[in-house]
Parts: sequence; structure tokens; C-alpha cells
Amino acid sequence: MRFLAHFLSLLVVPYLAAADESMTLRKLEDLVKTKQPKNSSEFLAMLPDECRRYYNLVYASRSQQNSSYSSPRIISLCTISKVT
Amino acid sequence: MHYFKSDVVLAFANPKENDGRDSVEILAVDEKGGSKLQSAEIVFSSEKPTYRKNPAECRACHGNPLRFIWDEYGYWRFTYDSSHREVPKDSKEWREYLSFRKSQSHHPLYSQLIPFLETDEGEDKRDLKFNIDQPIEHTGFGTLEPGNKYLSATSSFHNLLIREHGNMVKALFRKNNQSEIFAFAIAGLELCRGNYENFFPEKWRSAARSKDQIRANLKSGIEKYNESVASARKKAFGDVGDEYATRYFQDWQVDHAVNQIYLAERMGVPTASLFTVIRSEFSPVNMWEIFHSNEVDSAGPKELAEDGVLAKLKPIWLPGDLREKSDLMAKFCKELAAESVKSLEKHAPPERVAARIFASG
Repeated sequence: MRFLAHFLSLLVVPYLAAADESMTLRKLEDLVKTKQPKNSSEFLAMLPDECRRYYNLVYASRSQQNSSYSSPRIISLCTISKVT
Repeated sequence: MHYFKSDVVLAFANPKENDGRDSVEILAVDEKGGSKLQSAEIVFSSEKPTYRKNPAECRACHGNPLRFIWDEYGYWRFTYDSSHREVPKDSKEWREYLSFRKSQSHHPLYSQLIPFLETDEGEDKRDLKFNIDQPIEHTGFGTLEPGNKYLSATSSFHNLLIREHGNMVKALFRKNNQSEIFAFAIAGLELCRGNYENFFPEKWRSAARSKDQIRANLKSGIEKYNESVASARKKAFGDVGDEYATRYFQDWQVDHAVNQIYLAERMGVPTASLFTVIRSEFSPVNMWEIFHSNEVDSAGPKELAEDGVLAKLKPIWLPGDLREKSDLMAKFCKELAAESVKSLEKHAPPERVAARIFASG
């Protein structure tokens, strides 16, 4: 089932995956305004692989976003770039 | 020498945990460069999504100027994989983690994440490519060393964030005459872990040569410090502290703390000042821990109290007006810098600091 879900997720071609690798606030804003995702799930699916691969799951914090063991916050990293 | 960095960090939450409110919080490095962060929030409603730039709410936790909030290496409480590769298999966290993973593929939000690759025992192996390509030494015990088949989610995250912190702090240090002092301090601070060699490579190499000597000099004080701080951790974090405190403080954190004390003594600057500045800059969350360990009779908190540092910091880190807190922090840092200069000039002329710190005797 997990494999199936992964496979299906690959069918949702990330909006920015083929574009410039670097993610910026401006690009995120453009993405929201042009594609107008209906919810955070849809928005997450539009992000490049990096944003969906490098993440942590936080099950408790002092954030305004609530979380729990079964519904952890996703802290996602975008723009994994190499700096020389 | 190169390393990986992350410019944008996004936080998603399950709307069901938030009374149906569906939002994404964002912190990002300023596109124009420099050390400042910017924030944003995307709010999804029945109509079209709203994009909010620099919402005031962010600063309530992330401060002004904005900064990342993430614990230091080795232990990230309340995060799955909180003590990377060492979370006990009989712990609540581990059981809940496995349960979450089973349901992940059915959830509209969590199924969008690229799944981890796991062994039968549930070990995290999701990122072999990134791992193998990782050209730098990571913090402690080779978590991201090439060829290491395991990757800790939290340590990877930490690795990226701490470098952003480092860049920000480095930029701050370069604005005043204390850069050398803190360069030494940071090199020493990370003697046993190796975070900052990329920032101060020459200092790092000098420090690394003295590693064994420093370890030997500090050995006697480690156990006492370990016990007292672990006790404070347990008191502050309850059952989580029960599970990890001892294990955690037996190595990294103790080395971390005693190195600072040692270096401060060598440099002739107040230990508490050095300790406080470094920790508060790199991990604001740590200040909370310091407050909670105030009653513990250990070298760190005791010296903090004697220096009056705690009293000065409380108004900064406790709830209150953000601008006022920011001004207080700036004032406090100036005082510390002035204090450090005074001590340094008195006890260790700048040109002799290296010799004092890394002397073999």
C-alpha cells in the first residue's frame, strides 16, 4: 500500500521540480497565486522532491500549529543546494 | 570544501489538530543575501489561498530578528527520531512512530511526503544518495559520513539549520572586534563534534590538535556536571527526560559544556558570559533549559547566577514586548562584548590568545 501511495504521488508532477532548483519565498508566493492550491496537501504535492524528502515530524511543540503523535507537524526543508 | 544548505523551511500541520485551520508557515533566508530571515504564512480557506508576508505572530516565537528554533545536535525532544538511532524500541515515541507510519500512506497530507526507506526494524534509510554525496563531516559520530548506511532525519535537519545559524552568527561577529574571540570559542565549543570547521577552518585545525589534551584536562569535572544537568533535564521534560537524559548528557552535551568552561578560563573571559552568548545565539530554546536548571548546583547554572546573567536574560526570553526584548538583547550582548574585551585585554592580549587556549601544558 505504501508503495502504491508513493507511486501515485509520483504521478503528481511537482510544479517546480524541473525548474530552477533553488526555492525562494517569491517562488512560493507565485506558486500559491498562480496554481491556487485548495489546501496544504495539494500545496505540498506541488513542491519539488527536496521539500517532500527532507523533513522532520514534530509531535509536540510550543508552536501555534498544534500537533500530536498521530498528527505531527511537518517541518520541511527546501532548496538543498550545494555551497562551495 | 562545500556543504549543503537550506534556504526555505516550511511547517505543515494537520488541520484536524487545528480546529480545521489549514496553514503553512514559512521561514526563509533573505533572497538578497545577508543574515536576515523572512517569514510568511499561507492560509487555505474555502475560497482561494491567502499569502501573508511577515506575519507578526511569527516573531512571538522566532524572535526579532527572526531566527530558527531547533535544538542542538544529538537530542531533539518531541520530534520523531528525537535521539537519532538511539530511541529505545520500547519507548512510547517509538511505538507511536510506527503507528503513524502505518497510517501515513492513507492520509491526504502525510502521503505527499516521500516515504522513508526502512529496514525490517524500521530504521530510517531514506536518503542514501544525499548521505553518500555528503562531503562534510557531520556533528558527532559520523551520522552523515559517506558510506554510513543510516541517516537520521533529525540530524540531517539539524545539520542544515545549524549552518544557517552559523552564517547568521558569523555575520554578526564580523561586525565587531570580537570575531577572533568567538572564532576560538566556537572552534573549541565544537571540539568534540566538528560543526564549525567550515566557518573557521584554521581555528578548527588548531583546536583539533589539542583535542586529546583538552579532554584529559577536563575529565575530572565531567561526571558531576553530567549528573546535575541530567537531573535538570529530567525535571524539565518529564518522561522524555527519563528516557534520554542520561544517555544524552553522558557524551555530547558534557563535552560541549566543559569545553566552553575550559576555553573561557583559558581566554580569561567569564565562563557564564561565553556560555550564554554562544548557546543563546545558536539555539534560543536552550535558554529555556538554562532557566529550568537554575536551581541545580552545577558549574554552569551556578556561574550564570553568580554573574547575574540569568537576571539579565529573563526579561529577554520570557514573554513580553518584542521590541523591548530585542533592545534588551542588543544591550546585553554589548555588555558581554565589552566585558569580554576588558577581560581579554587584561588577561590575554589578542595576539596571544591562540597560545593561551591551545597551549599543551
